Amino acid sequence: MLEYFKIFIISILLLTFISCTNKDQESLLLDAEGGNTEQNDTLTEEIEITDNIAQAIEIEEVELTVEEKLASELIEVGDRIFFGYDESTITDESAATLQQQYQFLIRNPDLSITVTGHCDERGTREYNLALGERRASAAKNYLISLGISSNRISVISYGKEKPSVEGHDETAWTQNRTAITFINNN
Amino acid sequence: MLKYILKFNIYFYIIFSITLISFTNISKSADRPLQIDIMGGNIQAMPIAISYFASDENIKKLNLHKNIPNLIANNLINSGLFKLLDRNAYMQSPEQLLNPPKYRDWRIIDAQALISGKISKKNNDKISVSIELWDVYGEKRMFGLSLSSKTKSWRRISHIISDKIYERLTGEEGYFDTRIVYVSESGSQKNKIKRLAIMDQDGGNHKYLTDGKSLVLTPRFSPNQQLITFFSYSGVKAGLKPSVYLYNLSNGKIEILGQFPGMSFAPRFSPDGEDLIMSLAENGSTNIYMMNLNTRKTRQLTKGRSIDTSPSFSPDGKNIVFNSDRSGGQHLYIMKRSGEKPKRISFGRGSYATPVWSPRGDYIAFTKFTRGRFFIGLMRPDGSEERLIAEGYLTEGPTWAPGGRVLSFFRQIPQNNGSMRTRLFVIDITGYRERELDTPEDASDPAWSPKNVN
Repeated sequence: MLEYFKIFIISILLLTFISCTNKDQESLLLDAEGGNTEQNDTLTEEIEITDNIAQAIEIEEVELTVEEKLASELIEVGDRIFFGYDESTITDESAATLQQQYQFLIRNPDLSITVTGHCDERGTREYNLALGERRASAAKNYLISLGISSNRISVISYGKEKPSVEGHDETAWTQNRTAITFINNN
Repeated sequence: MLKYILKFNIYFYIIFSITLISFTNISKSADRPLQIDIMGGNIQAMPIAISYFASDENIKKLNLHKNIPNLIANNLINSGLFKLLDRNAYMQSPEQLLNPPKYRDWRIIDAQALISGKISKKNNDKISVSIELWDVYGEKRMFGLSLSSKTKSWRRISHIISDKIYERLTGEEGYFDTRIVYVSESGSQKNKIKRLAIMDQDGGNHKYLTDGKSLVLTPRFSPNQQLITFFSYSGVKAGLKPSVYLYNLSNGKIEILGQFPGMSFAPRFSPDGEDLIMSLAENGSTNIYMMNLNTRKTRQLTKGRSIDTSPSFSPDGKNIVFNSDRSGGQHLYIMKRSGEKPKRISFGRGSYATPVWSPRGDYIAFTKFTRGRFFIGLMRPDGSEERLIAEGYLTEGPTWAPGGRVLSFFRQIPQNNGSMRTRLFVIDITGYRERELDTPEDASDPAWSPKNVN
């Protein structure tokens, strides 16, 4: 009886020790992000604990990914279109991106979106607010022309106030003349 | 021997300064009043003496006998029109100046004008400040002024005195007893925090008006300088459009100015403060509207598919200058306050934007973008006499000080590490005497207040 009790105490101590090591914490994190678990093969107890906690974390992750999956899907189909300097014309390339966005909105009929319009820094604040609105509206009108209902699309202009890319050269300016589509959270 | 050298030196200085005087723009003949012509462009700064003020020990403990003349000196020097003579060279003490000055003692150091003063303590924590302005070469008292106020308002007293001296010596309206509201910026380029901030024109009494939680831009003063209109994204999370707001300085209350189908922005008050003009952007076009601030009714002034923005009233309230791309490029137009008879006034190369009518009505200041550089420029209301007075990687947003002879604007200055430094600057219409304003953080969108009301 005493022997059993001793073993019991030792195993508890061992388990507590293992689950408290940093290495274990790291592998848990990796697991949660879908990373490697092969280094856990050495200790059976460890795998059990890791699995349990990883599952618990996974459940939370699944809840987040409904919105995140849609957002990343939108980024994959192309969430933004680009414009020439002082331009708001939809180029062929932009039209292709907007058609992908249209397909995405057809696949997800419950979603509503906001298109934000942006400018490079080579203009005055007030003019750029107007130009950003014109760019976002150009994207909105193209989506409407494809058949998306106008009440699913809002526009906000940020003018030159929220650049996507830092920098003060042609590369940055090209990246910052955009209309970007976001999924509304509600 | 030393005495002779000294005497010779004094004579030499007198002769030298008289010769010098005849070559400067500063008039000092007996029949013409002492005055600087500030339109002279690159003129020499007028040498003036501003003595410390005579006062009793109570005042001296507060150091006001030095602080007040220092603040006056700071204002006058900052105008670029005056040069303060070194106080170590003054031969008369503040107490001696309670009597009319020995003009000869001040001519020796070539002071064109002398300011003396005294401060006395009054009841209820009040002080009384008296100053005298002396024409040293004309050997005349030009004027005297006495002000009393709460001790803590000593800065305001100094600004009012500065205005009176400036007005007397230049013939132009002073602009020292004024404030500047602007956008204080911090954080990274992609995630700038922008807050409204207000300060005296010399940087004193600085304070923040908003907390930085939402993006704010383009604040502008009402003529009674108690209201500020600005553009903000503060309602966006609650489903409101980015809009024009009003900030009441007397009680700190902020209200949204109407809700429109699109974005409202680029607000400015009418000269009588009854109306507000702004842009509304919807479905790709931006037009100008006027709102009556009492009835809150709006009227559309421009129509069409173009971008019409940055409207600014003429000082008589009869006309509006604005920026439009209706002809393709961005140019300046003037229309009646009814929106009728729009007429293009800018015809040069490049883009013209943010026109602001001078409070005197004689100039329109604007931002110009051409050949990769930004400029602050001036033109007559008929579009003639265009000239550029400041430039930079990005300069934008001119605003007029009362009097219409001095402007502020903001400029982004590229730094060695690739970042930008954004600051407010002051310049006068000659294009000379440019100077940076001190702000705690990066600063943009300055708006100069009208004169404070006594």
